[in-house]
Amino acid sequence: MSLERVDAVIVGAGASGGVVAHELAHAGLRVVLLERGPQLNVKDFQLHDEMISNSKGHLFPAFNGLDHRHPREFRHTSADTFQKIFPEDGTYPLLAAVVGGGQLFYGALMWRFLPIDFRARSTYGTMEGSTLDDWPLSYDELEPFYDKAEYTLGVAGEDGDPFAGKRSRPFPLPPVDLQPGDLLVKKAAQRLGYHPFTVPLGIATQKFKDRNPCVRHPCCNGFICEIGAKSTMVTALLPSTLATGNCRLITEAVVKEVTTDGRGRLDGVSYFDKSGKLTNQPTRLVILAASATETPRLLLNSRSRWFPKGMGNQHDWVGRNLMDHIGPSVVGLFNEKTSDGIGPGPGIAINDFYGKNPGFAGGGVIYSRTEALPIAFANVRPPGAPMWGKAHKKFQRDYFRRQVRLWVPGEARPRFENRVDVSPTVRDAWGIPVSRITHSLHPNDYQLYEFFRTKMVDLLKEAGATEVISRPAGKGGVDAHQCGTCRLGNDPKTSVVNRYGQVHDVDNLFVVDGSLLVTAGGRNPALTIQALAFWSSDYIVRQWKAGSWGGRKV
Amino acid sequence: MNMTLSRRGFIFLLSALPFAPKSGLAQSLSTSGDPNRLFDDVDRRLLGNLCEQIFPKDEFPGAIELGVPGFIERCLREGHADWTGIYRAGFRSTEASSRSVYAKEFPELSFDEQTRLLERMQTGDLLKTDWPSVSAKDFFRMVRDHTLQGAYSHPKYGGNRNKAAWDMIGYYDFWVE
Repeated sequence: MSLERVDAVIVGAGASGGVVAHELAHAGLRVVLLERGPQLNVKDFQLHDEMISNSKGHLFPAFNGLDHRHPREFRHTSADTFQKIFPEDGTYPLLAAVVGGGQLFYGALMWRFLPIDFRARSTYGTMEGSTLDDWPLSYDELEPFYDKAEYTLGVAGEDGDPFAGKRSRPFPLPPVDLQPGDLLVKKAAQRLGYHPFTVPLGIATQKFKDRNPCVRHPCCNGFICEIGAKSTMVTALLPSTLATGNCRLITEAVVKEVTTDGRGRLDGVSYFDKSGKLTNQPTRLVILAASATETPRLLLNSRSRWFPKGMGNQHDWVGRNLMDHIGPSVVGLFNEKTSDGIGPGPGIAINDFYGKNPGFAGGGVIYSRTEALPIAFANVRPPGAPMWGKAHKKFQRDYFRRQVRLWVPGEARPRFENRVDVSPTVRDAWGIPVSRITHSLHPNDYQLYEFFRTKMVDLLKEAGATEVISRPAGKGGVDAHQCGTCRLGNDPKTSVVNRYGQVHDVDNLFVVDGSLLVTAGGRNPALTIQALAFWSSDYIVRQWKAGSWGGRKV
Repeated sequence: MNMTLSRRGFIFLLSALPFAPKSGLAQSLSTSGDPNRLFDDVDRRLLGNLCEQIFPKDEFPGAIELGVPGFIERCLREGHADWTGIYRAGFRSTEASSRSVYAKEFPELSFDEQTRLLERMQTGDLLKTDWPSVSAKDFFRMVRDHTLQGAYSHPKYGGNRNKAAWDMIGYYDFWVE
């Protein structure tokens, strides 16, 4: 069956794909939005339930732990052998195959990057073993799109961070109320001369548009918000996108490749539909929003005589510079109550160790969390402390609501050898070659980790912690903050897409997900990914209206 | 990379259970016969002893009072039949170690003797010949993790009866019921 050509096909109905679908459909383009997972009816699911969240298997249903249709391979370095991995394995990069994507489950940290993040190489200089570079756009250029993302999705926060870039408007929602433990950290930070402020959250702290306000349930990070207070494409974008009549959402559609016509011009997307039938959707434009571990796979699998190494890959940069964050998680134990037993969890942040630290490059934002969940907390113990028996119960009683956790999403160095490519041997249940991941840490990452570990232990002690639990860094690997694999850049020889996310050698192909990030920044990436998606969408709509790609001149 | 996402290991993936999401993909691994019976009385008693060691009664209820052994049996029966053999092998090895160390059957050991045997199980400090098919450390870790999952999970799964473990630590799920 031959389908009618549409204006744009978007692959991936997650945080970024949802933005592009919203913007293009509202501009009048006819869009097909493909998602390999299903659309959840929130009411059908056990939501505030730690057993469901307790493994990667909770990223149901397509990726539930018993679903082995999506294997991958992983190794740390080229000296290691690839291991076949499944969603329940620790090295499997977290990926929610569902309408809404990982943002359905996120911790809702919605930071803007700082202005220096866009000038990473200028700030830190070059470093051996790292492909560190400046971004091809500035904070000031992205600012209007940060603003648009914040006001469209809903972000709660407060001014007061002296290191932040300028804002054109205040936050659309007031900041979350702090817990006792956050206040202890805030006062300690002030005593130490730091500049604490309340974290920005993608949470409706009060009624926002038609969305209910947050009820402060502790099952937040890692859970779907069943009242819709979390800012996601499902709660904030999808209803009006579908209401335009211009967007068709097709779920359980597993994309195989981007196709070209007889002259090498991109002309469609091939996918296996729900029934397993291979279908080609003709289109003028393709926008990839499938994540930093799946978008490069799709590009590399889209081989033809015109693109023998895969689309966008003539200089071997597709899949390179795979990053996540590297930073310690440190828990302080207190004699006094730190939590009322409520969520969402994040509270106080400081940017005082961002960008100018002694002996290493990069930095990150430190922030506090006070919520705890019973099963997870059973594994939070000082080294050597009993993990079971009466001592276990006493520790749970004593500290479940007397602990504060600090975390830093530390900025890992981009490295050329950390990459996604496709396996020559392992295929998924649809016969498509799967992603292979190679990831290890740069020496600078270990220095950063230990520096922050010391600073965070000191901060918790100043706040009154009687004991602080911390651990040394692991060996690397990527998870929910996977990014960097289709780098933005002006030079086609050292990047995959231009400053608007347009693939250098395929003018009707765009990438809009976390793959774009030149550097990981020292903070959770969701808002920056969505701001970039608004930025790319703005470019696409302007070009379309100017007649590009057969678009309708306005 | 953060703590909440790195908790893996012997985790019951409840997606296979009937009260979990209806995905159409969930595979039922139910066994035939008596739907409420997986272990015989000897094994049930042993499992109860092990669970009670991990989460003993003090001024608050212990694992048995919370229904944890039944939780484990139910999870194995309804979603993780593949782990049943590991449990059975672990039971036999626990019995063998009890005889080797104390020359007594495990359920006849005093509570403190059982504790000391579990401490050695945890570190693997037991005769390897008594643990031919599952390592003492792996078995201990599995029982420990599953016991705490049963104690602290939602009561609908069969453990944490009357939310007593949540009450003990001050955790409140304010949408329960």
